[in-house]
Amino acid sequence: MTKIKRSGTSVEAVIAAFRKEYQVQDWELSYEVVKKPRAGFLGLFASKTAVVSFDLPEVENRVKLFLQLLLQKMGVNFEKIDARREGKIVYLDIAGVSEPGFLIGKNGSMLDTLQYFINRVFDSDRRLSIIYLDSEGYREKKDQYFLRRFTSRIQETRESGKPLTLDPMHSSQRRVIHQYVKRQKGLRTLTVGDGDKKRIIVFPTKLSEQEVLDQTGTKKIKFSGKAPRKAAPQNKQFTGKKDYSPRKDKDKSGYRKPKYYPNRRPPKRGDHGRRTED
Amino acid sequence: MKELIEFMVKALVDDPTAVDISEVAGDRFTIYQCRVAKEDIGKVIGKRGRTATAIRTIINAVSTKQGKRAELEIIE
Repeated sequence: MTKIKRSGTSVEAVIAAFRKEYQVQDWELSYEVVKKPRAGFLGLFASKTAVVSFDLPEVENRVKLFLQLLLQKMGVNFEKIDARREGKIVYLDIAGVSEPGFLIGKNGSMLDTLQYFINRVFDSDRRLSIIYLDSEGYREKKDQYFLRRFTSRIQETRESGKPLTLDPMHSSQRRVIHQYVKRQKGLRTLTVGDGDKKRIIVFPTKLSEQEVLDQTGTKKIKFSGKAPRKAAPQNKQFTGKKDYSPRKDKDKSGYRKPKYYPNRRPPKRGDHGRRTED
Repeated sequence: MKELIEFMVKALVDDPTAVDISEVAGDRFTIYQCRVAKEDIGKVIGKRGRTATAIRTIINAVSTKQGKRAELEIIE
């Protein structure tokens, strides 16, 4: 929580300017008027400045407050929300829900929807990259259950030394596997494929990326980090000399090659090179 | 219900003062008509209508719990 003091001609103007600057919505606005502009008596004791002190909560608390209000309006009873921030990622956990079936939904669909919605609301905030929503460890349990299907196969790659290619998966499922393999010593992951056919390859660190791609016969499309940037074009230096190199669109005799139009009918006698309507 | 829709839409848009929700009650279900500033329509609808779908999913779930049916219309 940080306090910010602002001054202006009127209290309303100060509040409006502050809300615009920090994108503060009306439900999270909290302020204290330090000094009001006074009309004074016959111009005496008049002051034209208003000073307002605002409370600006931390990002995770803003997200938490929003979720609290949203759940209240949805009629969901809960005990508390835990908010945790790691860098640009915020983890929220809703605890003590009276109707967990309603909040989680079929296969976690309601939780997914709420998470998507909250992420859209805080899209414009550059301090956040993504918000993860969970209720009493439901997501975590689900992820663990999902991971259990792959752990033995992943561990086998360490002994066999052969890369293991998994089936195409959804991004959130791939994330679970990436994070698991990251914790394993001597193993690495690589993402291959494009669109909704992205696959994970798990391989021992002994192998290089190129070796893995050759062995599996796949092409790496997704970059693990930042995509390599193209070199900026070098500016042509002006030398003061005229360019006498032959024009590319003309052949040696100076005849300009006609453009190739695949659907154009061949010229007839009497056309004189002009195209006529027929 | 109206309060919930208003809260969700206002959170998404840049100009919350232009948000206007009107309620049209029918015998089978209630229609909520939502009007926002022209620049904010894209934000409410979202990429391929995904945000609008999310809002509708939440509304549907809450209204079924209350034993009612509700529908959201976004009007340009």
